[in-house]
Amino acid sequence: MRPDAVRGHLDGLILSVLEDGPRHGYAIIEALQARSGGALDLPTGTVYPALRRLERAGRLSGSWSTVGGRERRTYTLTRAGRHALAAQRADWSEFSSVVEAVLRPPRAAGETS
Amino acid sequence: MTRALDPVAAHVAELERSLRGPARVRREIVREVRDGLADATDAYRRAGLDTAQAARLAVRDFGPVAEVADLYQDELAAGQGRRTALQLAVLLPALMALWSLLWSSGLMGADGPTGLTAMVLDLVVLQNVATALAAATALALVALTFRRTASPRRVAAAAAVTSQAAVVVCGGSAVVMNVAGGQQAWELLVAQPVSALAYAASVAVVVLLSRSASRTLRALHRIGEPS
Repeated sequence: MRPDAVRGHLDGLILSVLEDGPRHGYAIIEALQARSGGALDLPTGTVYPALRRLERAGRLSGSWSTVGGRERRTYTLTRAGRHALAAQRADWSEFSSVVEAVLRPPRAAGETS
Repeated sequence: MTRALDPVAAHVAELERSLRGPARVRREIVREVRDGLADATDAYRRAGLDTAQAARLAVRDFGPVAEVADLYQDELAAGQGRRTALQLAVLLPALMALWSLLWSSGLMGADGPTGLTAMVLDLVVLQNVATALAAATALALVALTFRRTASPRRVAAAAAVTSQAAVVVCGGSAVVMNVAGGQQAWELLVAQPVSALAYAASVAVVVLLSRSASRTLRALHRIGEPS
């Protein structure tokens, strides 16, 4: 999938992989790749500033901790983050069903529903 | 493998050089990115690549430094801008409250300030209005820093400009006031040494707000432009 197409949805995708528990930066990148079956092709470097942006907006809280012998910044979904995720899911499902309805090839002429 | 040839170290160093903002935040950013790249390198090594190849692929996946640095710079500007706006919203009203408390406490003479010229009284009104406007604007800007839709750079720039304008108006009118009432200001200092504290607080607030605003302006630096 083109990086440009992903960019606008990156925040929602990040919130979604944090739904089942806190993760650090690289684990978030791995989870994004695993869930997309490797189809999500975006520069991994853009995930880190997105985490800061989400933290500034109060949707994530980040803190340093030692995981596997390495100091890592771990991110947890906040209550505001859960709300934002739910809102984004609703928006996406509305958007995708509208686009899907318009893009669907028209039925053959003469066919009625 | 030497450090100079290590693509991860080179990438991290380039990012470090590109960023402008508070040293503590920059250190944290660099540490997090370095850890992330080390994790990515480890993952490729576990998949069977040698260290040099693994590091090269980790850096390739990361993407160009300029793109990531620009995104980080937005956050550095937003963070510093929020700090400037918060300081403005708290410090300036606190300073005005301190001065009016001093005037109304009777410490300056039982009848309050006497013999003040009309110009000085006008300047006091100007200061109070400017403070109220600046504090209200600053609070609105703080709220905007929590919104994803607001451009972080524009909000930060607005915070810096509002803060500088408030400093110029309030600081400038304070200087004019004290020069115009020079004799009175001096008598006040002699009669009530406690007022020296209020003068010192005024200078401190002006210095803090100006410094914070100029830090915000520096953090608005665009990657790829000379600083």
